[in-house]
Amino acid sequence: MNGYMGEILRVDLTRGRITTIPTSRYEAWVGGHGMGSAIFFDLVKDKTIDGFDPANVVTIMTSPLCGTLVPAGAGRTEVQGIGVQSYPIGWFTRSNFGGRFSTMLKQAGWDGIVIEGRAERPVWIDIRNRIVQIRDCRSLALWGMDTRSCQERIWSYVCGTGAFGDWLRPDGDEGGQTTQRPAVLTIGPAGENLSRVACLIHDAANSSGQGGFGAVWGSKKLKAISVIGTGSINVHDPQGLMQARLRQTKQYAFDLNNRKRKPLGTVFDAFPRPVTLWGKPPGSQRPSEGQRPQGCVGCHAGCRGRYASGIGNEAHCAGTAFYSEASSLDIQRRSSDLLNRYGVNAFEAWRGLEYLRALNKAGILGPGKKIDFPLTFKNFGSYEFVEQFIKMIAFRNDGHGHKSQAADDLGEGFVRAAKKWGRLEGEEGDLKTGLLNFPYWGMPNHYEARTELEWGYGSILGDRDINEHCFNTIFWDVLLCRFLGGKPSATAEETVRIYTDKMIPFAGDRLMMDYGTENMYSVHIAKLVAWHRHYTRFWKQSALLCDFRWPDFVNPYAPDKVGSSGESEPAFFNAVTGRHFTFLDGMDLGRRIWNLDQAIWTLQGRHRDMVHFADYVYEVPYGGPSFMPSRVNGQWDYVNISGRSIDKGKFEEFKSRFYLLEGWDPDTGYPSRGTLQSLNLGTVADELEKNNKLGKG
Amino acid sequence: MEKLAEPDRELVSRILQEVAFGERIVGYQVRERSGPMAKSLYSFTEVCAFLHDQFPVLAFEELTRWLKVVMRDEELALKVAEAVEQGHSDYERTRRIGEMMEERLTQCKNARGSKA
Amino acid sequence: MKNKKHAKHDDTNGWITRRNFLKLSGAAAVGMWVGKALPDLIWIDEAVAAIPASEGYLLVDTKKCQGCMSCMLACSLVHEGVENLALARIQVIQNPFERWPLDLTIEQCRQCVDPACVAACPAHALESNPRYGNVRIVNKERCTGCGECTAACPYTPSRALVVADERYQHKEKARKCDLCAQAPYHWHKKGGGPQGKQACVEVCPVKAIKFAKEIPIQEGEAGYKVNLRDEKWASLGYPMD
Repeated sequence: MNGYMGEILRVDLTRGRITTIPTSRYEAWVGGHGMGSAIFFDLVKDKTIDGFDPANVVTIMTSPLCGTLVPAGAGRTEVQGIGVQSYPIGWFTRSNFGGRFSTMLKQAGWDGIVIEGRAERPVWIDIRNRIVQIRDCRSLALWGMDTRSCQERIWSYVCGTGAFGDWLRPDGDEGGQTTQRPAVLTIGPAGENLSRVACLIHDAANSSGQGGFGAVWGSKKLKAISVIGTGSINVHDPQGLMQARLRQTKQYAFDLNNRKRKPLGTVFDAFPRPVTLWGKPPGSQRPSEGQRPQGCVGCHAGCRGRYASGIGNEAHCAGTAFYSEASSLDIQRRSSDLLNRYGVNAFEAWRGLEYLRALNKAGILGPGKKIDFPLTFKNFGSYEFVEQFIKMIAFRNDGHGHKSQAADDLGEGFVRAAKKWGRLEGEEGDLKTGLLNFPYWGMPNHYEARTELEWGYGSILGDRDINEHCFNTIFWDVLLCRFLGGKPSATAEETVRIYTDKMIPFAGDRLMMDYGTENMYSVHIAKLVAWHRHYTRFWKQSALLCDFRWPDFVNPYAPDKVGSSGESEPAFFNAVTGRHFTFLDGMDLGRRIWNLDQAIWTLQGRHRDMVHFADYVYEVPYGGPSFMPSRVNGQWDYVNISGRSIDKGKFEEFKSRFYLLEGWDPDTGYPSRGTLQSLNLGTVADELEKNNKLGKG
Repeated sequence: MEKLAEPDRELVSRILQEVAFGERIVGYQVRERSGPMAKSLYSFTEVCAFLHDQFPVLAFEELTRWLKVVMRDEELALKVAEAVEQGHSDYERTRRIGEMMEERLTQCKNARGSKA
Repeated sequence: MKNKKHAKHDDTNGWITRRNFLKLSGAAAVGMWVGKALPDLIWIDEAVAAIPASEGYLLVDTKKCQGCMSCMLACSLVHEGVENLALARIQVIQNPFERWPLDLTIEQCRQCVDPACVAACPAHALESNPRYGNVRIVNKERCTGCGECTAACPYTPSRALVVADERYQHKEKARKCDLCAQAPYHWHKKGGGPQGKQACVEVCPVKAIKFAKEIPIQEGEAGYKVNLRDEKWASLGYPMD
């Protein structure tokens, strides 16, 4: 089985039992998300359980490409299970993270890990090649540690007293050797205290952020998983893979001697530069100290960094956008470290703090105020302030060890907290005015639902902020040109043509890329959303190509700017696995996985009537910037689509179009037997039928 | 460009203090990859700092109105409107406006400092 | 991260510097070997080496490296046909919490002028191979997997590794960097060795590994850990020094 190790580790924390699942049983799903959804469907009989229920199953899956030379395709790991962050229902959800965990897991001999049950007392899982043990946290005093201390303690324990950087044999003298330290995935205090916005952290700042998996692990009393491996991953065509890698990077990756466009963060040809959004003083987005780029295993252009001060190592994107009001760059960088050490979701903390500050300014929240909140904003901007704030979320107390109801509420996430505080009621409710900027399923705003249609629709028709930048690159390319002058990488006409030509099986429908108001509820946009869901479900969440570098649509290095997507993804996949997989095969499998997920959400209680944005998305025009392609008088251009909201009635019509396109019952949104059977998901249809949730058709 | 006239005591006071919650101005903090995020600004000082961000987005008409109605700085509001008209890109306009507001802020801080 | 062991000096305490070495005839070189002892070297204007110097070396920039380990993946892929960090003849070792530049090191084989591994091999399975520009190469037919080469390597981690080899009925065999001279899965028609292409050099996304023909300074790290950064690199916001 090229690319695969052959077995998935299954850990029952309740019984303290370790067994295995043959990967072949789920091979049809390829890996990552597809396998995770299928395993979840089989193992969790009652899909209505809460994420904190011991019967919740968390899967941590690799793909056949992990740990290989596929550029920006080797470093991710996919985590799934019933989450606890989304509102009002903790949907079955996903989150993935980068680094070296999936590589090490495969080298230890495992294609994934399935976690079920709940341990009696806090434990960690110690994987050394094929030797797997569930260990009590007490001997290393891990429970209570921050994520850095925990990892360092485990490294010392597993690696013994050998010199750093020397060969070591993790599973005894007869086993293989490695110079690498264990790859550890851990929760911090936020997860231990069941904060719904707790994440999983690997190394300095790789994080499985959304979904609250930190709290799910905390409820299972699982502190960490450590894995160290010395085994080999078979590759079908080693020479072919090496040739493909070199060809791909030569033709499509950055070239410092031949710069083609303004630096963009999420494109295949991006430079190896940290995507850090620190910035307090003018223009200082990057610290001016010694540093290197840092990339996940096998990446051709790292997007993180490590610094001479060691502060904010590997911190990235939203983790660095947080607390831009810090009074110094140093404080802001250290606040990134606080998020990662305590294991708190950066987006929630960032947008939530903006909300709390607004309530404080309005005179509603603070010590002794209507919302009696232990944090004074008098020292806002200081390190003391942010440390207390993060500790409040992590420990669900006042940040100094004392009880605080309001702080405990924060641990429920900002939407639940706002509801508890009575802030969501009436016509001036904060989700109606947009003061609480959390538009989809109680998750903080990322990209704007009112303008970036594939983002907003994809999020609300799914389970979370999608965080998939496939089309978002257009937004940045055009916006930066509006700011700085110059031209985007491609004209609107070129962009639309190149993108839509690659969007098989819908290729050719140019109106999929018309973001204009006239078209925003059309079947063409339904195809855009469907394509995006299917592509990402397979190629990015199952094959595990990195969102920051794939797909490669418009590439200035390519002939006629036509990037490599559609050809390169299957070429790499087949070089590793030896299969004859086409791009369309991947899209079809993505559709299959998406349908399985919709079935799971349906069993969890989803009905089309609940698929709605926060009210402000319908009632308040978007006042920020947005220029996206649209056809005006027969000509394509980048059009200013700011200033609009979503029409609720027309959105209902859009949903119907989308459901019909997907082959689901438009009255309910439930998948139909006909569609599920055509996707070889007849047993899924049976379960829906048993629960009176099968769509007509 | 002409320097701004020296502010009077009332203007100095308004420029240097926070505004009421309902009088805040909302811009969009635009940092690549994180999405344009609504950012409430509660004082002239905060607006100045915001305009020094990498790609700050503040609706120019809204800023002009805010300077006129909330700050009651007619002179600056007029100069901002001129800068908007004369600018060739939003970046250029924003930078120019930021410089003018910084000038006003410095005037006010000096005025407050010299009084002390 | 410093090497715990240091390159051994010759018995005359002379430096083996970047010089042109005379290549002895094979017979004379063999005659000078006495078991595992290093040959005596006489410090004259032109130092005389017991075995010919390699015609190729890998130099690395540990401040530039992005820690992606693509070099390790490429190395194991072209040599073993599999992906395995543990089989790479070049090792990148990192601590994500440490300060730059101490957070990372690259440890490559130095193709030592005075190779301890060659001297240590009791089976004469490690040799400078004239067919491949005198690169220090393991002859797997002769190798018994005893591990003396790994013990003798003065660097941490030892550059030679001994693992079970499925091409030899899973008997243990040594392997070490051969500058891709004998990589069975070499991707290029030119092949490897000093006249060809090295997988790690070609694949490194940030060009932190360079092939060089000149013999590096043997003492310490300065000869092998070099600065490969230029203004273009600096324009991305990275230091040049």
